[in-house]
Amino acid sequence: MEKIDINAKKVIDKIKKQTYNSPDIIVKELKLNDTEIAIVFCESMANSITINDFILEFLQETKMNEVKISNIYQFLESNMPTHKVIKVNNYKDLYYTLLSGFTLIIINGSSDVISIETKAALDSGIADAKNEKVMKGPKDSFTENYQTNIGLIRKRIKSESLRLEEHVIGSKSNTKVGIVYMDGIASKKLVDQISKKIKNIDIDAVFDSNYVIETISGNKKKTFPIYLSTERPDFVSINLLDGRIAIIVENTPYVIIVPAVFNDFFLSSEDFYQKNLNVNFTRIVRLIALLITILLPAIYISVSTYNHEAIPTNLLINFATQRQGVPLPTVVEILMMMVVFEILKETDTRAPSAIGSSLSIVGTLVLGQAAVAAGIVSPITIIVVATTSISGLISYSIDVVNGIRWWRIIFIVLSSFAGLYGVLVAGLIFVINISSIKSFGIPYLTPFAPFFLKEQNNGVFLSNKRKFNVRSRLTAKKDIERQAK
Amino acid sequence: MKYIKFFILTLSILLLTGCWNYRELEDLLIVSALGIDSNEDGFDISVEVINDKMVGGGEQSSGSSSEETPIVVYSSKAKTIREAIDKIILESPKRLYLGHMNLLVISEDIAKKGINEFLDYFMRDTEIRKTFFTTVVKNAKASDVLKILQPIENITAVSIQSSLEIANVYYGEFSNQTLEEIVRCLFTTGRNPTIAATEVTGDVKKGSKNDNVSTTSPKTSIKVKGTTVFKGDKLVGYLNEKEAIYYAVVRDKIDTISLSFPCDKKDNYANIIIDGVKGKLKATVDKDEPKIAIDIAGNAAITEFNCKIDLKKPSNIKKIEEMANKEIVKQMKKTVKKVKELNSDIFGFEEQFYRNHYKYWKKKKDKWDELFKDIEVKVKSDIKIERISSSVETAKSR
Repeated sequence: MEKIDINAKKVIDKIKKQTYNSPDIIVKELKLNDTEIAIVFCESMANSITINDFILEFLQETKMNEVKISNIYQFLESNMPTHKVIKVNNYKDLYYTLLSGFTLIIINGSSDVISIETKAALDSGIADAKNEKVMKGPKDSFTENYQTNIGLIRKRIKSESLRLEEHVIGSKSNTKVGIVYMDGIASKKLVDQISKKIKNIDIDAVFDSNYVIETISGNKKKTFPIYLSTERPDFVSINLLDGRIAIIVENTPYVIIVPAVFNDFFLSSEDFYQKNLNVNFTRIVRLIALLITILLPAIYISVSTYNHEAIPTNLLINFATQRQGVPLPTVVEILMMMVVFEILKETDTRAPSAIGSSLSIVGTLVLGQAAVAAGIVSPITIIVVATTSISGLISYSIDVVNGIRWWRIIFIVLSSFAGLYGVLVAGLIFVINISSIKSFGIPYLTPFAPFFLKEQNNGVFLSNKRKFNVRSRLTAKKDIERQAK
Repeated sequence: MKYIKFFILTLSILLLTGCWNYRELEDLLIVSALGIDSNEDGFDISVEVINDKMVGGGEQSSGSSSEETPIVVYSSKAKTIREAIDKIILESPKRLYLGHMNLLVISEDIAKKGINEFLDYFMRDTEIRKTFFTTVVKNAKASDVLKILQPIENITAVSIQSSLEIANVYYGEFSNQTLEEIVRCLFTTGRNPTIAATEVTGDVKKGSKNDNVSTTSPKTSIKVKGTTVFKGDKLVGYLNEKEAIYYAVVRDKIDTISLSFPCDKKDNYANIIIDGVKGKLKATVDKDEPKIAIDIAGNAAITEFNCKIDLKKPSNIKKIEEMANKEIVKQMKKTVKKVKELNSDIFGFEEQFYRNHYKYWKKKKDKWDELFKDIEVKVKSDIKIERISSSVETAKSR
């Protein structure tokens, strides 16, 4: 690493050269006790009020009072009225601190540079969770600010065993990545493994937590994610106490939790805030919705093109009536409407909110009314596609929703080749595929396959015991009981 | 390479199977019922197909005129049933689909010739369900019955089928409703099948027009009329509705009976509803003579009482119980007598001996027809009246 030059002029020239005289790098030179010092900061990252009120004022006062100073560096380091002073002695750290919003004080004749924290608040502030809404429970969500995010977790778990390991990755972006876990509950082996993997990431920039998880999970070909990605600090805290590990990445409001199994994507932190009986009802609904969203279009195609004998006569007559005069084969009809729905979903997500309402009106009219009236699609197809699509949104995780979308198409294609038999084959492929996934050593279908009797307290149903008394045995390695005897 | 292997494997599980039967719904004509009439050479087949343009719910597609009927009947003749069905395709605009056939209508004359003539096709065909209902039509051709339009239930086959179902619950008209049960009966030792009987009232020709359903009292209608008695696979006679109930009691196929009986000497009647009816057959051999005991049990509630008897007295209730039991025994004996006259063991008396007295049955099996005519049948009825419903007083007691 390149050491910092003794001559302040030389240092300033170097900084200017390296940043190509970037206009937001401000250099202010002054004299203190006949020693030349320079204040350098990045205007866009630093808070100018702090700089003016504390640093410049302090220097001015010192100058006015004509204090005799033997060693300017030591004097400034110990007397500067600020909470965070970092000693910088090489150019790499100098650029990192400067571009993180620190203010540098370069002293002629000293090879060390004083770096003072003067970061500006450049994030959106703590707001309500947008994508993971709950009826009951805390409303706050993570922000783009790394320290705030850690604070939101610490606020919930005020324990000394909450550990934070920090790494900086990205050769250009220099992004902070924190590994948070509970000491004495989480598996230390897994923490070390993840920490090592994160350290070894060689990439120029990290803009989202997904960059990190995709590189360390090695799960590129599977359709389903093996990690939870959440914007809810309370959900992270619940999982930390279960012995899971959270990965916080700077500049993204999504925190990653590993390991995660399939069942986790159909739970919500709200499950822990409501009465069990009601939670379990909701869970059954979610399970039904999962089955509907994967199977319904495939089964509809099967029974209307191959296995007519599998449905009651009246229903068949109804189907036949609806199909009267529809020119396209059932499978084409279904796929067509699916694509239309996906387009509608995508545009609705991307479109500015001002256009959003007109989009949905056009969408409803085109999907619900005109297509049927024109005889292009049958009403039953609309019902099937609508039910499927609505059910497809049960999981809060967009990764799972999109993973399911692939499977739905596989089911549709196979059922259009071989009817219910095709659905069965697709089901087999699905089960084989999903059971071959492992999330950081844990089989994806646990606690059902392999079956763990003790883990059934948070399987399909959530038991009160699981809620208040014990941790998940799959992830928590020690300290299973939650209540002191 | 891995993907090619996976692709080949997936493709082979899809292609190497027999189920390759892609049919879009709009290319099919759903057959709801099939009728068989006799013909000098071969069968006379008529199929009732659903005109789904006129039946299904929701918005009806444009271009359908309200003049069209909800069902259409096609007919053809051939030596085998399959051939006859295949001939219909020449006439119909779409393929026939038999998977949802709900009803098989057999005309009386072909039933007299023997149902084994045509049963094989229905047992063997892979598309046809084995659970469709069967009925013998008494006074018309099977093809005509299918043509009669019925109000309330648009599709004639569904209309007949639901009348049969309801009749079975309240009247126990027939224990063998579905093809499966008839076939099982034919293959059982010592019991003859019965099939529900239906009857047409009014003019068949007029019944096939929409006019028949645009009136409050349809001139032509189809009525469930007791049950048929088969000997082997041939029709030999009929039981009326009342007799059919007692037949069902013996077979233990009925749960609820509504019974009217005289409660005094002055031709006044009472009615009770018997719940949880249990019929029990017991075969014994006494001095080389076969004997049958029929036990009937159940709990009853008085639903109507038109005599001047004080229902508050428990002793009177006992008397009414006796009257009811007497009536049941009387009716049962009448039914047994009728069946004996038809000489067809539909009760399965022989089956009882075959099961419980095998040696005796083996010795006598060739002479069973004569034995059946003279078999001694003891009937015991033990109905208990448990409730007198909403009123203690009777209207006539004042």
